[in-house]
Amino acid sequence: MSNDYPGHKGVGAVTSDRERFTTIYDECRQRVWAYTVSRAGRQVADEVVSETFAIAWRKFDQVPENALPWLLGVARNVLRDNIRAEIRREGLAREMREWISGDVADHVAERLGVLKAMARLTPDDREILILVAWQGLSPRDAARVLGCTVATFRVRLHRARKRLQQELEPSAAPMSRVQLTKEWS
Amino acid sequence: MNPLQHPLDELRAARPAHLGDAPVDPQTRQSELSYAFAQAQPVRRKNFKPVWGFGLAGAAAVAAVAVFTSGTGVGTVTGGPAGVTAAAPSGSGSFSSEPVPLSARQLLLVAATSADKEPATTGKFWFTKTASRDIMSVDGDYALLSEGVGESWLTDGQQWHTSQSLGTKPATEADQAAWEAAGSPTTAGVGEGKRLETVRPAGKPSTDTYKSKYVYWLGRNVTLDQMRALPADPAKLKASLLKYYTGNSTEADVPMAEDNWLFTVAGGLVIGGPVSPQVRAAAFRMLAALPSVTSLGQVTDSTGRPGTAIGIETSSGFRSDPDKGVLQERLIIDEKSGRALAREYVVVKPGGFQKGLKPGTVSNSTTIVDSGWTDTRTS
Repeated sequence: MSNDYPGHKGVGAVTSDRERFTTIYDECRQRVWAYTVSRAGRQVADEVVSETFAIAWRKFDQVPENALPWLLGVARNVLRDNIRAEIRREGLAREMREWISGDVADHVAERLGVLKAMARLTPDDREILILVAWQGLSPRDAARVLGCTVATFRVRLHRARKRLQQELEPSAAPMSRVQLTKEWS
Repeated sequence: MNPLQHPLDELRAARPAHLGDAPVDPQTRQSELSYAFAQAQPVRRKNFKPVWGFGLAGAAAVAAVAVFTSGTGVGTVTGGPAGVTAAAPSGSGSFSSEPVPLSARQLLLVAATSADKEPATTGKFWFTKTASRDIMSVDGDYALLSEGVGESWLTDGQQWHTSQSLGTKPATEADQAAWEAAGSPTTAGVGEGKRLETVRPAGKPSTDTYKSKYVYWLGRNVTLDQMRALPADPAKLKASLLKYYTGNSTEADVPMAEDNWLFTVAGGLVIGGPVSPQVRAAAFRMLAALPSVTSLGQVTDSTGRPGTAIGIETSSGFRSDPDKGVLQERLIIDEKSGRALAREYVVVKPGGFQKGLKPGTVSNSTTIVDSGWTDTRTS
């Protein structure tokens, strides 16, 4: 089995739990941050990431060698439990505005089009697509993050992909109809 | 947009730059890691199962290593910082065939000369075969030993690993007796409500591969190219390694002396690092110049090979831990072949992860059974 995303295994020559943890941190930190940003914006991301890795160290005996899905699952819970819903909504709205303004992406029309389509999706659909396309998770690992079965995840991924496809069609809904601040579960 | 393209592929290509894999800034890294490490200590890694490669070093320790069965002063750690000097000069020699053991410096220079003579080889993969022993104390005042073996192959951007647990059992006869006296429980507590299996049969070998340009660790993750670029001159090598020394340990903002840092990082380099014999020789020479490194006399590694140990004292646990212990980090060197055989951590003053272990216990060891360049991979 091949996994090309970080944290699946440590790097060679790790000599202690702390070094192994540091290796996992170095491999996964930015992925956890990026995931958090895509869910609730930059303002809270560092705080959530910091808490996530603190939990990971407290529960290091539970961290699987394939660490990234586990960490994303923890970050997801930290976001849900520790960050107030309106803070998450505001942060997410700000982040989505950046995506569609093109400030943060290359100014290539196609990329901008995809990001705009992503911004029009519900947070749940967007999360599923991000886990697969940007985090590189297998359906099994992504299902682990969301706490659902693989079968359920595949169904949800299929639907999310279809809705992304629809948003990419030229006849897609105009931006004015977008609900950027829709609550997510 | 291109209608032929799969929407997920398009999405992959559209990831905003700020959500990419840029490295975290050092300050954030430092503060997040130290915040994490300030949390309560983890008990032990999952299922107490050694991982592959050199990471086998969980925490734990074995009392039954040859060096500690000797009554002479050679290689014996008597506890407390003074005891760790333990260089063999005063030893009677009953444990060693050499009447006057070499100092750490002399020994390392001999090892460097031997390494220099070794022809540099090449191959598609850097291969290492390791054996590990980890011990940990459990409730009931006895210790469990877990052993494992692993093989790994590194190449640019990818690594493959095979690992196999060789099982867990009470560490020594005395531990066995204590375990039986406790009613031979199938699990034992290790604090915080966690329990370990006391006896576990050997597992099946498992293999895995991992893609990343970072394939090795030198106080930081490095690529094979960065390993290849290491200089074969001791002073230049030292300078090159120290570029990433900040005054702190490799993991967090816990202060760590330069000698200790270099011993850890260069130790990782000489023990199974994908470098030429000449770079290994430079690392030995660099270590020879470190005043805090002492010779611990003749020992055998966990596979029975004779070698000479050199060591440096290091603290265990955390700055905030009042129970912080003292460990001795040591390398077993075969000076005649110019190779490092094993890396071990010996309990000097119990504390931290090694709280329940007696002074002199080898808390964990990683032995390099074989290493070198090869064109074939069996995993």
